[in-house]
Amino acid sequence: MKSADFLVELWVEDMPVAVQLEAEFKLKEAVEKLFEREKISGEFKKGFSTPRRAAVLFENVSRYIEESKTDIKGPPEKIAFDRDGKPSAVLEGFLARYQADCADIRIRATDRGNYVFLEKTIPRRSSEQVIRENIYSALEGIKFSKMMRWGAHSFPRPVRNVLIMFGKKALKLDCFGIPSSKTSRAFMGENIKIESPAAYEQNLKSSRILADRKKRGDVFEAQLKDALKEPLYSKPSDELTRETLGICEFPRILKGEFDEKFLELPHEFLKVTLEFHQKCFAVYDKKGMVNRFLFVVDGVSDNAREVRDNYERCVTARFEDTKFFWENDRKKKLIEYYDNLKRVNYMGKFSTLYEKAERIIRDAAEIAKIYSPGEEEEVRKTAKLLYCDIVTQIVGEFPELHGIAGQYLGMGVTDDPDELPVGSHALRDAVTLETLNNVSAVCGLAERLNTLKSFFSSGMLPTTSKDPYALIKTADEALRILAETEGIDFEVTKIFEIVFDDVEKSVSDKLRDFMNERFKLYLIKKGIPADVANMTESKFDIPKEALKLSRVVMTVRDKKRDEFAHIAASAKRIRNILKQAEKFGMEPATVQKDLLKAPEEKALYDLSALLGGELENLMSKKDYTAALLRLVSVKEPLDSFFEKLMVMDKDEALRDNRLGLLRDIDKLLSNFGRFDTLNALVLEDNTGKKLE
Amino acid sequence: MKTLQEIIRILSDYWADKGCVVVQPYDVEKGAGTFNPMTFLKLFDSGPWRTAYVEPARRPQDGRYGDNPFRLYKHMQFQVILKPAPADSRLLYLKSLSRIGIDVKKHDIRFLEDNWESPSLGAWGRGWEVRCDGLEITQFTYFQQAGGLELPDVPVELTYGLERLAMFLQKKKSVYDIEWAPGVTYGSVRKEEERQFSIYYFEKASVEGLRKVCDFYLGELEMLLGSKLPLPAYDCLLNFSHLFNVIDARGGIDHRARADMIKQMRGYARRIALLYKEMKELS
Repeated sequence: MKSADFLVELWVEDMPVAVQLEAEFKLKEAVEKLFEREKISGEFKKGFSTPRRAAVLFENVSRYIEESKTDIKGPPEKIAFDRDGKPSAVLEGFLARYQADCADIRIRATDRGNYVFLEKTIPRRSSEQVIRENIYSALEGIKFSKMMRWGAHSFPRPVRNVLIMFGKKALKLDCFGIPSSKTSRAFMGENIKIESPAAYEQNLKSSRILADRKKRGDVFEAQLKDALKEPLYSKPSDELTRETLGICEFPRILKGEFDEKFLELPHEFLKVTLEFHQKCFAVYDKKGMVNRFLFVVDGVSDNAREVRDNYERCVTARFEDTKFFWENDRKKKLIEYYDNLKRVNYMGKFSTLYEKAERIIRDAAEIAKIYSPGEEEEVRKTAKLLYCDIVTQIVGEFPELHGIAGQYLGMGVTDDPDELPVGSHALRDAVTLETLNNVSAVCGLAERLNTLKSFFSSGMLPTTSKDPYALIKTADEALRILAETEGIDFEVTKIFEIVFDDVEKSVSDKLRDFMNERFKLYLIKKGIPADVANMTESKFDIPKEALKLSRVVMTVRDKKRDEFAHIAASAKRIRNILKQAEKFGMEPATVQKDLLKAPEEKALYDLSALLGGELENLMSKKDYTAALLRLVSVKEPLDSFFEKLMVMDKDEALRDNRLGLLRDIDKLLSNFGRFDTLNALVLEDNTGKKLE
Repeated sequence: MKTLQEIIRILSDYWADKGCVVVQPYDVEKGAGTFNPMTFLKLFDSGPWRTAYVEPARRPQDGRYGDNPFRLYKHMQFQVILKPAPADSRLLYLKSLSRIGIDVKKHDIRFLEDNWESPSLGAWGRGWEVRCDGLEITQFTYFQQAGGLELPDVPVELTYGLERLAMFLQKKKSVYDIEWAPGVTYGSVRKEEERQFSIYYFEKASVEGLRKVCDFYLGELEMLLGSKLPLPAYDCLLNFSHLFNVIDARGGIDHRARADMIKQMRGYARRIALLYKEMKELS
């Protein structure tokens, strides 16, 4: 046989959920790199990862690497050797790059003088041998962002067994300080004999290990479906599912129950307790949560009843705790926690949460004055209650209940003016943004912007790789409020004037730029093609309009691809000409009709004069589709204008007049942002997804 | 059914068998077994070290007046240090569970990522919280740093929650129902202590007085470091750290001051570690 299968498995003490797939991927990459470098042919077949193992299987790996000749041109002879004829640093670097030495080089004449050439014949080698010699450095060299050290080694967690097989044979060598073999391991370190690389998955399955991630997911899904009978159901979030599956090698779903008395607690609390602390799943029927839960165990077989009893005891203990916190918290009204905010330190501009809360109340009220008059009082009240639950025990224990706990604590049962009206969700929504009404939007916005202000004004800016205070998320949430609040067309400039009147302009400018940049990504996430997002981001001042506009541009362009590409090309040209003109100190004039000579410029002028009024009218009616369709008619005259005429005429009056005409057209186009950033001649679909 | 004291005895015997020096609790209040100098300072010795001991961990803020069946101001940890960590650390641990009566194959044993960290000791590691049928029973950590210093021989630290283990094995719904010795409950031994200390920590402790004691310990710390006496200096740090927790439980420390004080403790932990190491290397 000319080829064989190749398998590597690292058996590791439980890796964090987040690195398992990464380990699988990096293992594959390490082997591929080695194969490529050594010219071993082979095809990647499949990768595996569980908490305790990462493995890759390659097929058709050639048993021999055929003889090969290298002939690589190196540095000129002159600089390859020093005065004494010894190899210079340049030559040494060259040799090191190709893992060669002086014996492998020849000097050959070329028409540019003598050069060093690397001539090396690598004889036919056995792949097995080459892999044996190189695999340990390939594997031990894998780097992760979060490593752990043990002994002289590092990996996300200690590697405790190494399996390397070429065909049915174990490749024996030392890797991570462990002699490799063809034996894998189970939970307690029990040996699992692997018959061949291709049989790996099956051999593990016999030991109740599903190495394939997808299969683990399928088994889980199937069990989840069977676990509950109508009308009961459970819908664990993707994140919870991923986490749960990430800590087992053979998932098995079991069912448990808890005392009905706990259902008196807010169900969100129970859900968080179950999911966050216990990694269990809440169960519902049509009316809401029921006193059952599901949980996943790892391959347990014959002791399910006892395991279930134990899980139920844990859940009860957690619920008791939750109940204890909640009963304590409820002894005070929500507003009574407000002064406690003075004791909570904050970072950046505000030294305490109290200071920040005071400012949020003020800003929210000011914003409400403009955008939601009549609701100022409710806004003020909601803003004041916004942070109060942060100092309660329940939120201290479950930070994700911030907002939700506040809502429950603050909901009025009396006519107390400090309490929220019954049924109002504004406080909760201002935190969670589940639904955006005027009150929750205004409060939520003032809160997000003050968070950003506090950090930006102290120079604590986020980067894509380092954002410890989740400022990117905060900015994105602010944008969501700005662009998606049903009843309000927020204007960024006005909002910024209110919120940022206590910091230097450079701070608010920086933040505005940052948000503008994020807004482009926001549009792309909303399905707007990247080039359209580039075009309309300049309309950022009213984000909601920019979003609408983007959608219109997207739809209209789909119908009029060709015209758009042409207009975009012309728009670019106009921008360039105007830029050029500015550089040379030329000034576009107010267009004088009698200076228009050629029919092409006359036609363009007529159209632009006509369009000016029409567009203004349509835009003010917010009929963007009609406006855009109308604007498309500029294509023909614009094309002929550029085809027939030179803008930079020798006659200065004529030239400035034409520049003026172009400037007018530019203005028309800019109703929709920067047309010149649209893809000009690329006509295929550009979904922007790739650019994200 | 195994009593609490039997569990302790079995674990002590098991780890003694594995070469651990079984020591007694270090009699200065502390929040966790890691603070015992048999762990923290011994990490800086060159050469291997194995130890096991029970350590009472005092966390004033967790006090619940003896009312809550699961929370205590003071709980007991069974602490094991193996330096350097052997390759079969995990297996040794799993076998210890079997020894106290948890058949690992019949229960759902999970290792959940939990990278332990003690900001005030400048120590952190990589590891897990170990859960048995959903209950956290052990913290399993490979130390990477302590006192802000890289540890060349990476040790493993196992911290078993003894009350948790006993509740699990005895199937109790309240910590106070645990059978400590035959016919003697945990509640009869400790409940009143929980009540009184909760009152003390939450309601009575004199914040101003304690602050003065803290300042006193800081003075001693400086003096002792200057006199090249890292061991008594470390005791002062432990005392300081505990009093800090008491004042904190009384609500006497705002967040900014807390961050500052933790930083201060970390600084001392580092200086003590350096001095300890330096003196070890000279001797």
